Amino acid sequence: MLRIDGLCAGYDASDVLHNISLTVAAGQIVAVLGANGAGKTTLMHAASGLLRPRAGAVLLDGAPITDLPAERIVARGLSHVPQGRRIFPGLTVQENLMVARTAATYRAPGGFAAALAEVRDLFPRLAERRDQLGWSLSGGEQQMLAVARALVARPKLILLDEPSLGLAPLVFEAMFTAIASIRARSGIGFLIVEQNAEQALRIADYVYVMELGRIVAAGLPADLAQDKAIERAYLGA
Amino acid sequence: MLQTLLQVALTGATMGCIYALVALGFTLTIAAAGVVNFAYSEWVTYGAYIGVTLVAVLGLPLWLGLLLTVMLCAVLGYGFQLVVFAPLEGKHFLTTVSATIGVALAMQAAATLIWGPYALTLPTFFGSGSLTIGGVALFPHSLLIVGMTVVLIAAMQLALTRTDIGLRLQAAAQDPVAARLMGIPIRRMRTLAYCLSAALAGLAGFMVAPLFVVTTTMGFGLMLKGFAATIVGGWGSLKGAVLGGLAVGLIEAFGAAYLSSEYKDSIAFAMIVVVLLLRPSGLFPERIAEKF
Repeated sequence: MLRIDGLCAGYDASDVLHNISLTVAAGQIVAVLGANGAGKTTLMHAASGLLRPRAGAVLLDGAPITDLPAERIVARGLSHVPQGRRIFPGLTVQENLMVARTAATYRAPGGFAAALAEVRDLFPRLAERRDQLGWSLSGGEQQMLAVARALVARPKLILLDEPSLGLAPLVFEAMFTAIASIRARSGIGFLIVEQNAEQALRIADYVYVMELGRIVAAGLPADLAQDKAIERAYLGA
Repeated sequence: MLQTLLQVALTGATMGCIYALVALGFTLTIAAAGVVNFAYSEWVTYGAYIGVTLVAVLGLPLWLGLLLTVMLCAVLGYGFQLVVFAPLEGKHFLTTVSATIGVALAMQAAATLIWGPYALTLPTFFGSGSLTIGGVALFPHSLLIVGMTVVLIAAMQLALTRTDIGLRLQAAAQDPVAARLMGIPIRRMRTLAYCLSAALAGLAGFMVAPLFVVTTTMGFGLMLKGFAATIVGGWGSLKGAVLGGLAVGLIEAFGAAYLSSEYKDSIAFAMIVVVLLLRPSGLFPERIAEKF
């Protein structure tokens, strides 16, 4: 489904990502773990077209999307939920969902109404906050809205950048549970980059560990939990 | 007493509406593209000159002249986006500001070359007569300005909040990166904002022309007042621009009538200082900045 092949990317003169390769199969939840500064967000930006990679390829269903701008990649079925959620602060919850509509929203059975119903089922809280402005939502509600906005575009795969950032433990635990249930219901795959290893290991099918822009370990969550690679990546030892 | 008060209020409201249109167009590019456009003054000036050319030189009827002026100014905004703003996108804020100042000077010189150094005039829709109701002289053109502004601002408010394209324009203004991730083509949204901004400038220039005379420097004074309105109302806020424009117009008129007409500009600018001292974010700031 998503294949990243030998990706190198960076800002200005310095490279942040060095030869990153990974795959996410259809309906799979894949986590990329790593400490602050490992290059996780850069990886997301390079995959979704916000940053043009220096080398390597990003393939979605076998078709290269490496050179497409971000605004055209959504239509291919790849949604990116950015770090910090980036809810439109001056739009209401409903309006935030409305601007996320794409042609795929209407191609799906039931159109936008069906997407809204799904969002209401997943996050009843958002339905209660329907007419509230984005800035007035709590961090957890904003994260729900950010994921809901991605769902409205009817993607095949969602890139999720640090969903736990700034959230209370109970709130982000619920968020990871919601992600697992979205996958179970609709078969949408996820590529999640996280600092919080525990929650990511709980729901992921496969895990990569990143350190200073390189992938230093990969494996099943159960295997990696025992591995020293995660510890090392975080502690830099 | 009361008549004077009403008379001054009407004068203030008329100019306030002009300032509101100017400030709205000026703010639109700030909100949608983060661009402070000091060539905006020339957009207003060219609006008036294009109007004069179409009506006085080519002999078109006023309504058609107004319509064509607004459309031609929108095209001017499109051209600007193509040759000035798009190439400078991503450059430092001051680079773009300097470029707009340079282009403004060039456009002002070009206006003198094209239309000559003498003041020109544009007729009103209803002649120069006024009707008197209860001792208050009403200029039909002033009423037209007020009415047109109210309708236009209401229509813009509806378009921005009730239509798909309006919501997308807001989204692109509030967070361009997130907007791109929603598949919104921000380049096109910015183009739309520039065209709208220039159309508003053209409208303001055309409508204000019959109140004064058309000169190459007329836009500069109006832009300064629009700038004042933007600061008084709240930087980057469309609502603030409209209310700030009205406030500047009214305070200027009352200051001229009751304090001193010589200092009417100083009064308007003193107001900026007072507002900045008491409420640095303006009187009607955008609520969105609070949590981000």
